[in-house]
Amino acid sequence: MDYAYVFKYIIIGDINVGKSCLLLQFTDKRFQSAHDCTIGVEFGSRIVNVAEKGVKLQIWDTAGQEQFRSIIRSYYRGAAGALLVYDITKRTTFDHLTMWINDLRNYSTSNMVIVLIGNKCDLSDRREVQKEEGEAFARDHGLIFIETSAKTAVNVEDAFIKTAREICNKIDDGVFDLTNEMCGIKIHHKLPNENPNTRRNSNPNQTSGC
Amino acid sequence: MISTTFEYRSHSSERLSPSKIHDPSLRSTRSACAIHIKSTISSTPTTTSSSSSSFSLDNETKNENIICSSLSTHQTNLEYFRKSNSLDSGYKTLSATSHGTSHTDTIDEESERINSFLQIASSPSSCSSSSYAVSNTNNNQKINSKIEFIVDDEDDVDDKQPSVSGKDSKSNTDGLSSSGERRSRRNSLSNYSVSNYSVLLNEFYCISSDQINQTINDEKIIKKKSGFANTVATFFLSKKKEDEQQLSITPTKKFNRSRSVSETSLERTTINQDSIEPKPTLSAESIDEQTDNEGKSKKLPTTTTYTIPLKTEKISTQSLLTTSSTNNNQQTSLSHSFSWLHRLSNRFNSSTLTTRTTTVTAKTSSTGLIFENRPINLPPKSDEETQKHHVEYQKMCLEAKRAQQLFDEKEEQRQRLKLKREEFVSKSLKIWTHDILPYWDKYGGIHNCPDLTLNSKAYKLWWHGLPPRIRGKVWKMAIGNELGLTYELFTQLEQMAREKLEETKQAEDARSNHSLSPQLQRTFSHSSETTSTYIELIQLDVSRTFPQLGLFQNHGPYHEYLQLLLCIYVYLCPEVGYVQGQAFLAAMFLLNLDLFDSFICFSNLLHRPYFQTFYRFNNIDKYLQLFKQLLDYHLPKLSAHFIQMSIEPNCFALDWFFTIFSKSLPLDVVSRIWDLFFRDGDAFIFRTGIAILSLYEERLCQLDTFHCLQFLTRLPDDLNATTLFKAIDKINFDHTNCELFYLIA
Repeated sequence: MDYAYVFKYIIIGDINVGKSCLLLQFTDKRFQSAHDCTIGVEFGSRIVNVAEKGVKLQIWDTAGQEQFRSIIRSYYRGAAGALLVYDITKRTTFDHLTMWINDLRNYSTSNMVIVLIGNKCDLSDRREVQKEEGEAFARDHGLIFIETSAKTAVNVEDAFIKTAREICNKIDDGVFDLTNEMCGIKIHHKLPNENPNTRRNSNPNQTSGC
Repeated sequence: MISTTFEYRSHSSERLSPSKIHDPSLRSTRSACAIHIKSTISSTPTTTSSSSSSFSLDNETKNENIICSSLSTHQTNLEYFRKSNSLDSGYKTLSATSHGTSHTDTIDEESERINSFLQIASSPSSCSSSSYAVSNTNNNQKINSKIEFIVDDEDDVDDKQPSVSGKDSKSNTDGLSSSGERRSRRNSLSNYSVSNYSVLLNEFYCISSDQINQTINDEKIIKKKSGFANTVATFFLSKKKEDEQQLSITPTKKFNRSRSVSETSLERTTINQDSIEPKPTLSAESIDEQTDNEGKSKKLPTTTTYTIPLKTEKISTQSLLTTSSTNNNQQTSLSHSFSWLHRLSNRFNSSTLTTRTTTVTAKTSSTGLIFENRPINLPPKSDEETQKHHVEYQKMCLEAKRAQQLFDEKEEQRQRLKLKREEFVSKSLKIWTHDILPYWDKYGGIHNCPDLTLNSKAYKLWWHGLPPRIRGKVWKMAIGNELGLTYELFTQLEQMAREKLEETKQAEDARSNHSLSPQLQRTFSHSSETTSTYIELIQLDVSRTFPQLGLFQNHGPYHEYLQLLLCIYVYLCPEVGYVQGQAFLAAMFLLNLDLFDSFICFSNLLHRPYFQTFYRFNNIDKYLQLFKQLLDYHLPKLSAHFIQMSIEPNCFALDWFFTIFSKSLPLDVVSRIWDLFFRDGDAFIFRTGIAILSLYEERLCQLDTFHCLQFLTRLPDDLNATTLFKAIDKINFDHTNCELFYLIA
């Protein structure tokens, strides 16, 4: 499958909120309860169709333990989208969101699209964070909000694609400076029918350009 | 065509008519193809003499062995056909024979038959079996073999079997019968999927060192057999697939060939049995019945000239039944079935060899292809169809054989390497236990030992990895106990950890039962907020440690120990607490040492400056920068590529450094890396890291940032110790390199 853009995504959030499971569900369409813990960062990619364009998502799945946060900050660089995940059955993971948001604002590009994900919505009987709370938080910080379940695959696809759509919209609006590699978006040079907007300005010898 | 001449002497009561004896199907028993027999059964035999081999009939039998051999081969052919047509029935027959009817034949007779068969089977012309005629000098050792194969060399070593001695065939049978037993043990072990790890090896080292050489010899055979049995099983699998295709039976189940060795053919055959259930089955009795019917009524087209072969078949079947029934032990029947498999596959090998020649001499019918008679309610096949099926069948046979050969070769090579390695390990174990360790024990450690030549010898041997049996001991010696941890401290901490774990568990239960509100629950486990967080994390991570082993997961044998060990460390060193990655280190120790020793090693190891840097996140960057420098020095091309792609070591090498590769590489490789890490210190971690990169340098230079990182965080599974250590050997840290480590530390 051909694609027009490459987006760099980053998944962050507290430990055991299901970051790696979300990634696995999205890339492999399967759920694995006992997988390795993530030390540092792991990677996954998939091509999705957004607004009739193929987009390759390169996803960085990060370690959740607090001690690793200093290392993780270096991964924020050049990410176009971020999935900020919390666990609806664990209040503390929701409480830490502000900390994560601050981190994101400080260490990433300003135009980064952030989606707030309340994961494990299949365990609604053990819910500690109401959906409304999540929605309110997202509204306050200008995030997209969605509740997912990596186990049952509910909304997992949506979470990734919504982010991608938002990024595409921003590209069309000219928000991103595509000449800057740090914006987390690369134009796939092999594609013949690129966005005319970007092609006009692009340098044919480079993978990115606007 | 094999040019051996067989003298066919019969002691059976029936007289064989010459036309039947000269039947081409019986011509070369050794290579007798199942197709031959079947085909000529239905067609009238016309050939009276053959160019390369012939049978002469002598009814006044003196040498029973020969007929036995031909009988058993014939039997095997038939058996093979049952298998090829309905695998299920084939296996059923195997199992059925063990409860078979009583018979007057003696075991000795039967074993003679088997022996003589094996002689035939292991003659050089049948391609696969020749390689199994391992010269085993330990003729008398019969480890656990329940079937006594009595070989009378004078009778058995016939001049018609020039190159095979009775000795060989005997060792063959020994190998066969014991292999089943071994394998069953192995299978039970593989439940823990630690096939290629120390547990298995320890199994064998438990045998006293005097017997080691013996064991190796024995192992040789077993290895070959198991590899071989695998291929046999694989063949039948593929055969079955083809059958299914031909008969268009429900979707073919795909079997994974790349399963671990430990899951030997026993398991595979079990799968076979299970999955082929819907096929029409023929038990041993039903075949007997059927053959009886054929003999009497001659209703079916195949039975025209079949009376004598039928008789012989029955004789050998029944004699086999006796053997099995006399030995009710399950292991025996296991080994028995393996010897069956062995024989069957030999039949197959030779049969495909001769298929081409037979097509010329005999006109074949479809009944020659499929042993079972076509159900009466179906119309007979047309000649065209018959011919077509025949051709298809031959094609399938050839394909299967080719695949089998390929698989065989690979397996053979793998086994050879493994064997070599095991031989080495047992030798080195002897040196370690006899020459080195006693001295180190005496002087209380490696570094205190004044015998420098001994130390240098030990260091050389160490490079090849420590034998699993002494691994823990050497690790413990190498790490030492700088912290001076005592058993009293350990028991105290253990007590605390146990209590805490119990408490957390209760809180967890309460939480899931909704009997406590979150607030209450928090106060309940308030003793120390951070400790509780650590404990929660530990409980979470323990199940995520070596998930492929299944040892540390809930209800696994090491689950509790790993939890305890990590908990104890949290109490011992609360300022470090639990950091992800520790679980892998602790697990590595637990796999080789008991809880107390693991505690000492783990705690002292984490006390080293290297780990203090990483697990306290205290300027990790200095190590990462060092790694970059070393990379630039040793692999300038890749380093330039990484710089161009802005790939930093902290994106791919963190788990290497945190867990000393235990999260990233296969366990056997990791064990050897750890061995050397304890010999050479921190530098070895970096050396290994560079070596891994050097192995994939070319490939990595072609990839972009993301794919490089993806590749490096999920290294190929086929990375083996030999290749890696060759690469490590090439990366030599010179004096300046090593100095850097001292500076950092």
